This record gives sequence, C-alpha cells and structure tokens, in this order.
Amino acid sequence: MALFNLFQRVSQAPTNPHPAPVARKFDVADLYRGPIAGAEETAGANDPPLDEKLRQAYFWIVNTAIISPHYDIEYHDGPSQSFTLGDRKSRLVLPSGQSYSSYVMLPLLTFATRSKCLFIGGPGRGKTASALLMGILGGYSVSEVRRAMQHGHPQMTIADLLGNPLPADLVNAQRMEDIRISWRRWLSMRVKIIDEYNRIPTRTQSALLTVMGDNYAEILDHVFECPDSAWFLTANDDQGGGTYQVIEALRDRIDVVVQALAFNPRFLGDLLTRIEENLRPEQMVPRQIVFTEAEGDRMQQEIRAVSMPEEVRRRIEFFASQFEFCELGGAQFEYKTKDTARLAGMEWHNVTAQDTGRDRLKDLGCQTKNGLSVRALMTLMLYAKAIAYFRGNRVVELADVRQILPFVLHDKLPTDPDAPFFEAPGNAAYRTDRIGWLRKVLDLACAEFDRLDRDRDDPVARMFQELKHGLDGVTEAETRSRLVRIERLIADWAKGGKLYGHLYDDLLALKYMHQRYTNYLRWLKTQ
Amino acid sequence: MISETLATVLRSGRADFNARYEVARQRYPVLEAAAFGRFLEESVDPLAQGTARLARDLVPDVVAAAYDVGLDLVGQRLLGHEERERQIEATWRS
Repeated sequence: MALFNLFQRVSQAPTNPHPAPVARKFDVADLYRGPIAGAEETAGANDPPLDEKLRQAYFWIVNTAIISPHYDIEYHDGPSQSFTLGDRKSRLVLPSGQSYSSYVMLPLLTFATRSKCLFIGGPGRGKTASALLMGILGGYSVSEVRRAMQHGHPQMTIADLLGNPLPADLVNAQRMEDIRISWRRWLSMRVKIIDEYNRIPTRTQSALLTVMGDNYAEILDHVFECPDSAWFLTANDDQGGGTYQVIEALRDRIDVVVQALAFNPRFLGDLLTRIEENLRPEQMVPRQIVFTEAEGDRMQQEIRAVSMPEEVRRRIEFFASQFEFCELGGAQFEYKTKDTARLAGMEWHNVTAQDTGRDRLKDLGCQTKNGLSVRALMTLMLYAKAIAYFRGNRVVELADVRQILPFVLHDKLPTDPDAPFFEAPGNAAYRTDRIGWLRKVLDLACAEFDRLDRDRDDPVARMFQELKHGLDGVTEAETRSRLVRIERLIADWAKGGKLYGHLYDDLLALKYMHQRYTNYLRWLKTQ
Repeated sequence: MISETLATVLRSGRADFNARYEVARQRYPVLEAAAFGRFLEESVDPLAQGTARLARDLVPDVVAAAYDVGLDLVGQRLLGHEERERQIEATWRS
C-alpha cells in the first residue's frame, strides 16, 4: 500500500517556477469586480492554475507511468554543454533549461488543445498505454476508456465504428426519420482512441474521416454531433502500411506525429518493480491531475489567449514561404507551385531536372516535394501556443516554435531525398531523421531571415502595416503614391534575376495590395 | 462601477466579450482599453438599464450589439473628446 501511495504522489512544489504573468490589458471583469463579483471569481481559488496542473500531469506520467527518460525537446537557459562522440561525430547535448520527452509532452498538448495525435513505433512500446492514460486524464474510468477504444482490423465495418439502426425500427418504420440509431458510446467522449488505424478498411476509413474532420457521424440520414475531443491514434508503420493504405485526407487530419522512442534497458529495474508489485499505471492516476470538462474548456481558451509576437510570426511566415514555389509549375504567376505540378500528374524528377539556375543547395524549397497547407500552419501556431502555455509563459518564443514544429510537420513536409542538401557532408542522417531535419531547415530559414535583416528591412511588412490601418481618409494622391511604391519595388526585384520561395510569396502579397488600392482608387473616383 | 444589469451580461459572457475585444484590437491597433471601458460604463450601461425596464429578455442581445458597435467606434477613434466624437456620443445616448 505504501508503494501504491508513492506512485500516486504528485509534485506539490511549483513544477516550473516563474514570475507571475502580466495581467491582460482589457478584461470586462474589471468593470464589475468588487461586491458584485460572481461565484466564478471565487470558485476553485485553492486549485492550482491549469498550466501548473498540466505540468503536474506531465511529471507524474514521466516519473511514474511511462518510463521515458528522454529529453528530445530541449530548452536552453544559458550555455549548454555538448559532446561529439563516435566516428560519425554524433552530438550529445546536455540542455541547461527544463527539457521534456516528446513522447509524453505531445500527447499532453494534444489533450489540452483537443487535437489529433498519432503514435507510431514498433509493437509493445507503450503507444496504446499512453493513449489510455490520456483518456483517464479526461475523467473517464479505465474500463470506460478500454471499452470505448476502437481497434482497427480488416473486417471493421461502418456499423462497428459508428453504430446500428435498431432492428425493430428497421422492420417497422415507414419513414427514415422513424428509425432510431444506437450510436456507439465512444462518439460522445472527449478523448477518442483509435488503435491501429492503418488496419481499418478503406470504406470504414471514410466514415472515420467524417467524424475526425467534421465532428459528426451519419447513418441513414441520422446525424450524431460529436463534442470537441482529443484524438489519439496508433499505427505500427507511419508510411501508411499495415493492412490497408491510409487515405490521404485521413492522414492529413492528424495534427502531430510522435514516435515511441526505444526503451533504455538501464531502467529495467522499474519494470521489475511493476511486475513484483502488480502495479498498473492507468489504475494509479492521482485524482489531482484529472481534468473536468469545464477545466478542459477553460484550458483551451487560455491556450488560445497566449500571444504570438510579430517577430516570431514573421519567422514562421518566412520559413513557410520557402517550400511551395515551383517556377516550372505554371505559366500564370499564381500557379507556379508544386501543387500545380502535382495535380497535373507531373513526375517529380522531371520537375527537378528542368529546374536550373537557382542554387539548389542553398534553396530550402528544393529539399521538399510540397509546400505547407493552411491546416498545417494553424496547427503549428496552436501547438506553439500550447507548449508556451505548458511552460508557464503567456507569450510564444521562437524556441517553442523550434521544438514543436518537427512534430507538427513530421508527415506534412516530405523530403526529396535526392536533393543536393542530403548529399552534403554531415547531412545524410537527415534523410531518415525527420525531426532533426525539420529543426535544421527552420534554423537555416531563420539564419537567412537574419542575413536579409528582415526585422528591420522588410518593405512588404511595412506596406502591409500601412494597409492594415484602413483606407478611410486615404486620399487619391496618397493611394497613387502607394501604388507607385509597390510597382517600383517589384521593378527593383525584377532586376535580381533569381526567384526564390519567399520572394514569390512577397510578390503575390504586393499584387494583393496593388489590387486593393486599385479597387479603392476606382471607388474614390465615383465619390 | 456599472449596474448589476450590465454586470450580469458581461459576467455570463466574459470569455466571449474578451475574445471580441482581442479580435478588434488586431483590426484596430489604436483601440484603447481605457476608452472602451469608459464607453461601456457611460454609454452601454444606461442602454442596458433602459432596455431592462422595457424588455428584460432583450438585454443580452442589446448589450452584445452595442459592444460590437462600440469596438468599431472606439477602434476608429470616433468616440472621445473631439467635437465630432462628442456629437456621436450624444447621438448614441439619445
């Protein structure tokens, strides 16, 4: 019993001591606080803030439940020591800041943001166990979570997944509306687990896609609206292998991919204790780290309220602009994209063979076969906020983006393994180390951003800022002046010769602003 | 301090009202918290109380609509101390 209590212990000291965050500048509550302040102001006054609760959950899981002595999400609070080992000069870093295991952190952030997380890795590495823990954190019992877990198999039908019409109603009903559906319980849960999703038949995957993508299930014209939930899926092979090919739209709905890291045998003693004491982590989750539905709702709002400074956002913009441009993709400027070439069925090696003139080693866009979707970018920003929130911050840092980006873009930005970048000395490992490669690409993009001095010298950003102030009161003369400035800037760039991804996006942005001013000028003339 | 009528509406929709303010702040970089707070106290509160006397169930909708209009007015600096702005305030109150 003493050992059981030991396993249930939750850290009482602050898990990440921080100065108190700066209060929001505007809050309607400031208008009514005082004698009329309502119950919501005093309820839970002794409960820890939700970010602290999330950290307590993290440390309980990593110290007690899942043996993951990895710190692959590295933060540095000052200089860090690093060592070079082996013939291949492998680098081991000892981070100077509080660092984390992705295998525990990413599922927790997924739980907090109610997003979708895919666990990949070989069998027996704790994928399903991790997903089970997330269900328990959501307030469900072990048996509830186990019974609601959907296990993919080749004979899984839509009825197995979603539910059945009541047989008596099927026989007796004169209209579709009279048929009642017995919906599966898991559809109403706020933590949904799909085990081995790549073993679900294609037809059933389509039904799953509707639930994952649009949050509703449909049978015989009857619709079940699902609540916002966190999704945890597992697969043995993230390449879409298993028994069935995973449909692309379903793969795209997944927000983050986290790999089960190898078990370190030095921690075998912990496993032995579990065997000897018959301890199961999912049965020992302390009540203090279980979240109610209301806490989950509030935590989501607090995460969304974390601010992203302009200097961080612009670096993400610059990074994202590297990849979509493909000069040979089309004749019309807007269609010069990799997506245009892909939709036309063009073979990738034909595209790259004809692409001459640019520095294919320096150009980051040459390393990938596609660009970034809106969905991927929104997920990136949401998770960046979530990890900042987890660390007790109310402002996203570039380090947060750097740590979370590889897991969000893990299968959203496939590499071109034949790109010259991977042939360069020291870069071969990036062909297989997707996480390391994505961080490297972000670092290179940020270095280029700094080299171009974009924080100070960004004419497009200045013009956008000007446009954001609105067009009210802008005179015809001023509008014409702005149009001329846009045209001059484009003419200057036209002298440069080579087109790269960030330049392409900036040119389209300038065209957008030019069109806005042109339309406004036409309207002014009618006044 | 505002009346209990307005306080009830703001309290029940606090997160939503704060979120609307943040969205407006992105659109109107010059939106001032103090000016908007004054607008709520001096213009929306009397409106809420007047609505409550006539049709209490309409108070939340009226407050929500006035809140959004106020964000646009204050965000564009149409309410404040200049003569034109005083006229708008007077029109609002009447």
